[in-house]
Amino acid sequence: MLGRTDSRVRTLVVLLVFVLAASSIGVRLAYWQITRRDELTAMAAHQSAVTYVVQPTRGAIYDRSGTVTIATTVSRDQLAADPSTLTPARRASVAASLVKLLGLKGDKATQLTTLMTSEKQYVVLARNLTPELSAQIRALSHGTSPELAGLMLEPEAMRYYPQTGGAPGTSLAAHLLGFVNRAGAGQYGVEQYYQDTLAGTPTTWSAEHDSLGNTVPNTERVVEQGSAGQDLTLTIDASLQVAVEQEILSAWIADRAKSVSAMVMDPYTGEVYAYGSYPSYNANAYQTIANRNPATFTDPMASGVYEPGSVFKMLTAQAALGAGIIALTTPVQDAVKLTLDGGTSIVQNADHKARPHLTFADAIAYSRNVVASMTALRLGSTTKAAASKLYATWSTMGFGRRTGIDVAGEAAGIVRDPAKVVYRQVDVANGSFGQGVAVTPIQLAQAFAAMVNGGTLIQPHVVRSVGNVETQGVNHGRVMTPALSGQLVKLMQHVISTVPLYRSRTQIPGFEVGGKTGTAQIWDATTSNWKPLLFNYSFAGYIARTPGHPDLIVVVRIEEATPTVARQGDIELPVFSFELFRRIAHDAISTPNLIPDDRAMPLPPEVAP
Amino acid sequence: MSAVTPLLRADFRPRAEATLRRERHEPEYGILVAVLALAAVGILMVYSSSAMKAYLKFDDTFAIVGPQIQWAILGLVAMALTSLADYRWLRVLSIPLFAIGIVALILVFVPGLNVVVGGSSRWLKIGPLPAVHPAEFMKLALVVYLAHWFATRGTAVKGFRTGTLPFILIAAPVAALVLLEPDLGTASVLAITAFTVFFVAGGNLLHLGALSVVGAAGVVRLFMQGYQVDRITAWLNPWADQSGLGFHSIQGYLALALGGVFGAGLGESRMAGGLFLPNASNDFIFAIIGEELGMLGAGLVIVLFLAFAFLGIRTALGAPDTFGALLAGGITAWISIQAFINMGVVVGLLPVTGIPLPFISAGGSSLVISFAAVGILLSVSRETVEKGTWNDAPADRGRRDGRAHLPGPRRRPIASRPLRGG
Repeated sequence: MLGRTDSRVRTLVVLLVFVLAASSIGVRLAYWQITRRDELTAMAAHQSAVTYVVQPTRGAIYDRSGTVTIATTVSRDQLAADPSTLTPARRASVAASLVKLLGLKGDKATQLTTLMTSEKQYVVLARNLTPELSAQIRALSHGTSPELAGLMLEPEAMRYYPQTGGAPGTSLAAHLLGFVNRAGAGQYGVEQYYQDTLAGTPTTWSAEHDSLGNTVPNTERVVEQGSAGQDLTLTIDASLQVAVEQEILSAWIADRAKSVSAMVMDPYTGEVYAYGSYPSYNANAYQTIANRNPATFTDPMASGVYEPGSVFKMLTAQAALGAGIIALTTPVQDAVKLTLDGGTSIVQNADHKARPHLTFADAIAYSRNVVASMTALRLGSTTKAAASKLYATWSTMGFGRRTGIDVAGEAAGIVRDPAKVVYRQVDVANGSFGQGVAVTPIQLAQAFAAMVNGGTLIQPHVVRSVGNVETQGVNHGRVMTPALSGQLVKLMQHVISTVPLYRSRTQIPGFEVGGKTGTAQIWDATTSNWKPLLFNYSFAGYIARTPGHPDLIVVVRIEEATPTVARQGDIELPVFSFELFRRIAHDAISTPNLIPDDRAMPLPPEVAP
Repeated sequence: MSAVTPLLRADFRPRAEATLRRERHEPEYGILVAVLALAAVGILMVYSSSAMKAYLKFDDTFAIVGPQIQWAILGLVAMALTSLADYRWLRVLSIPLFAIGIVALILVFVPGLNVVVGGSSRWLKIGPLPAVHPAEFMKLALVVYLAHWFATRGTAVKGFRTGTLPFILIAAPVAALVLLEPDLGTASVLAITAFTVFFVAGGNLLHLGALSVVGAAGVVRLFMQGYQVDRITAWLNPWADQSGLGFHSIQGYLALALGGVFGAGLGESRMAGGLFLPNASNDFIFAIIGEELGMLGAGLVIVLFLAFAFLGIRTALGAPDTFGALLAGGITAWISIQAFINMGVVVGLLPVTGIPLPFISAGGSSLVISFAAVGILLSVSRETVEKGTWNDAPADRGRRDGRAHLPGPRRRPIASRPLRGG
């Protein structure tokens, strides 16, 4: 063996260097893994954590049977594109194909072509595609040389109202339901009122994502558990609702009215069976309407206040009969006119005539303004006392405040409190026949229900159950004696059976009907005068299978109808409010299984006729 | 033990039908254990860090670790062959191997033969063969050739014209070619390995110092341009540009921090699975080891490399001849340097350079060549002699060192002493 020329010492130096290197790496490792661990772990969690929110599917809305879907949520595709991935020539050909496929013309075609031929990486070309169109686009995007390229179909949750309404171009109960905007918020009606219930609460997820933004599998977990959107079952009967909408439409056409509204309600439970207005709209096309005439969305039933007119005489009668100052059979003296407030104001009958030989019931039936005014003024020893009595009746019956019906945008109406605003004699007189007050048809329905159901004020409602939980009706308690209620039922029946015009056009063979009409002048604020020959026609009444046992309350309002004949005290309308009432009442009473056979609150026997 | 100890000259070339029998004993099994352990950890961690990525990309969790296992088997075969052969045969092969290495390094610049990845042409692909990394092969070829050359030179290595200058002429072109690829990391490993062999072989310290200064100046000059400057800035303060240049470093630190002392558990890496560390299976695998196996696992890897270095150096110290010593020392230095640089990068002691962690990172060429080199190391370890039994007297060092003459013919290697018991 020969002598080594390499250096042992230097070899050991190399080893020493390695030992030093290993030690420093070990120390440094401890620095990262122990000393700075918490700080860096937090940083790692921060950079990779991502939270996202998943919206639950919005609950569906069914009719009272639970079988007819009135509103549901479907998935519809939105068509987006990434033109930057295509050559300019390809973009143009794809744009041309799409214009043809979607059937676009004019501005819309130009708009799509402009978007598609841009350099952008993301453009939305069309929304809410029908499933057929989606399938066609999908089919044309496949294959070796597809006609379409660079397109993306992105599913979106869309609210869909599958039932056609009673009028052409409308969806069923559009005003009652409202619609859901792109942000998923309910607008108007039940959709808005029950927004939180229907929408549910979103679930928040956290996950980890990588540096490219992809979610790492198996890292998702729920941070905040949301709840599913709950289904609603309405009190509305779908078939009756269609029928009522058809009746409303025909009256609207015949009467050349501004609008026609009607509702059918169970006076004992407050369940609304039908609820509609025309002009209505198609909630599936709410965006078009929002651009064209958003006022269409306003629900005339909940938000439209008006002067009810003579319908209010029932409240005057209630106050007077309740106070015992008059009876139905009390003879009264009618007059052509009544001079009030020391000669500064006059109250006249609509026909400018005085009818002889009237009982109080007849005076209400023939809608004597003078009699109603005198009766109201006799409620108290002074005008103020009389006004207070009258106001107390209105207030007790729910006027001047929201009924609390579960529909968004309900108006409270206006009835003035004599304790705050001084009533003149003429104010009391006007109030006695429904001028100078503003009410909603829903308030009328609530009040008339209390009059006929034995005297209990029941809050109207339109939702029967939320999910599987039945809603509890709200009972505001007794507002009059059962005896008074019986008298008022009798009075309403008397109105219909006494006046020949009503008798011939309102009564339904085999049923008992009762109610009160109202024909109110309309104040035009722009001309500071009453609108000529335009009136609001109202009717609120009941229909009963058994005499004296009202089954349904129907409220009808025909706004600004144009009469065919209009003379002093003689107005001819193609479809009077009480005729519309008859049609609707007949539809309702003949709807199978709508009205329960045994009533929860039968009239006490002593007041039955 | 046989007393027969053949006379060997430093430039002895064994003949195939040699009648002389080498004094061989068991190899240093510690080296084998350390290396096999490292390779096992490597395959485990490559799988753990690549499975998710491979599944997403190739729909096959074994897409990356599969080839790695095949390369490892090939490497084991190579190790077996080199460990059984007499390492002295390498002296015959040293010049051809070196020449092949140089040619291969030049060929990577030929379009059509190379594979350009990320702007660097580091891979050579000829025909249907898998792409190979000539620079990895060059590491071994350079060490073998330098060991051979220094052993032949003997003490003349101290002179400038006889030692330092030829050394520069051998090592510089190699480093330059790799630098041109460009691959600064591998060039650094090659250069530092060459310097280490030069240092151990007895090179002139003054020259070495001067070379280091020149080399350092060159590296600084290199760093002063382009992306290298940014790498240095990012190294000094990675948080200044978290999502840019400091990204890799910071992701490595975060991975380590997530591991803590005991680790998150195998396959539990958020950084690898989440693709935050793009090089989780190769350059930054040490960070994933730190994350999944914790400081204990990462510490074990350091200890294994240190054990390898220790045993390798001990083999070098006990080698029966200068060539064996330089060979063992060179191989040990190369693998250890590469390992410690890689780990130093991950823990932030060094700026980011893309070099693999030997035996652990995914990469076939590196694995096979490393195994082959360890085989050579084992071959040397089979012939180590005990301290004091080998002739460690200073060889002829001439008169200029001011020492007394040793007996024996002038300027010739001196005769060996008989082995103990002989």
